[in-house]
Amino acid sequence: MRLAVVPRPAQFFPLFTAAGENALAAARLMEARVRNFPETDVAQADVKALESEGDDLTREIIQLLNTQYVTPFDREDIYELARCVDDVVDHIEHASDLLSLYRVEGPMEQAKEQARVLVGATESLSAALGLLREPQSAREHLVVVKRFEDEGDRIVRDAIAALFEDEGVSPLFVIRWKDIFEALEQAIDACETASHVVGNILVKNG
Amino acid sequence: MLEQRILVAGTSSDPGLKRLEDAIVGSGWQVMALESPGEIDFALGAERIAASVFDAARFEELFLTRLRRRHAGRRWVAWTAGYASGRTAGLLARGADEVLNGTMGDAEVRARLLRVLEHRHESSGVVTGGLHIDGDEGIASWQGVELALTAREREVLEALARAAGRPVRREALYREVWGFAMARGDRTVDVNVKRLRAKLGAVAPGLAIRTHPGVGYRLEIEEPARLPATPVVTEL
Repeated sequence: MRLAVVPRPAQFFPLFTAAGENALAAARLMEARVRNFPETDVAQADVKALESEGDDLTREIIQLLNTQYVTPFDREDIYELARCVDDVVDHIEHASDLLSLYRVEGPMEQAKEQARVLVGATESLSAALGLLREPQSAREHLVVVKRFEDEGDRIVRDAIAALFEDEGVSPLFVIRWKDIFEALEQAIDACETASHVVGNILVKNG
Repeated sequence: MLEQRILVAGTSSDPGLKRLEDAIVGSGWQVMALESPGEIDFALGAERIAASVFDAARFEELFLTRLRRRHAGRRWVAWTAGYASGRTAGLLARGADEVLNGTMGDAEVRARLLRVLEHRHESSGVVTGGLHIDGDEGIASWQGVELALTAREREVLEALARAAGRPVRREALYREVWGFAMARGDRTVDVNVKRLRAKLGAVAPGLAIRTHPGVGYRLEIEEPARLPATPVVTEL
């Protein structure tokens, strides 16, 4: 691997900002998609396009990492953060895909709530990623991610409980929505995991 | 089997009904035996009941008029002590999903109940005002013009039309059309009604689905305008 002669450590920052904005865009599409599914203008292809965009950004970050001798943070932290932000979009894309794959006939209120929380968590994560050079400001956003993640935990528990309250609910309905609830929860959890990595970076470099 | 409990309405001391209850229990279902119309009505609203078996001699009117309207989408099984072809046909015509009688063996009772429980109410069609729905043919039309509806939309429209202007609870609509209990938070009915409304608004302005907040939906049918007794001829 050839290392760059001229160090370009600052190039990581706009890439992480773009990755955060991409995750937020995916979360917003997911929220719009689940709100009135299947009567929605947001196609799975739209979400998939953002997932591909996220992959490209991750690849770019790793490529830059492999060619830079000087990096703004520890190399393993940069790699870990790129991977975690990519996971957020992957989980969103998976949840979105399940709506079509399982031929969902209408939304559930709890999924709409999860999508709202997901947007809130990615908004804060995205803001933190855009402020990696300003540790104090970034930290405030990480606290908000944690708050959303806690709310997401409460919603998913209630959502799964709702599926089992009445034994007369179709088993297929239970299977499909349990998977979707869990996929959305994984996307919210991934925001928290990414925010932990940001937190570690800020502690080491703040 | 999704719901295990079967409501049996009749006189508890009736030996024929007692035999029926034993056959139901022997088939693995639970029996909720009730005699009072008030208790029966309450249980149908509050309990998870797969089907109701009622003594036709005593409860025909209660079940096939009042309760059938109040608890749309439920499964109704009439029971008669003996077999009479005309009586059986009459109960089926009035809306019973099945008619059991005291001459049937346990295996037949079980088989007939199983069929009622596993197969949700089959559409047989509705004709009201200018609305015609043929469930068997899968066709819905308004004033002779066929409506381009999906099977689900047609079933929702049919369930609302059957209620004859009364509001139908979301849960009852879901049970009748989808054949299962509705999970808390599920908006499937609302999405389907919204889509159905949009389609009807464009081609059938005489059909309006009204929302009853916190309850469900009601179909309002405006009778088609009467044609003049004698054709009007316009000369150009």
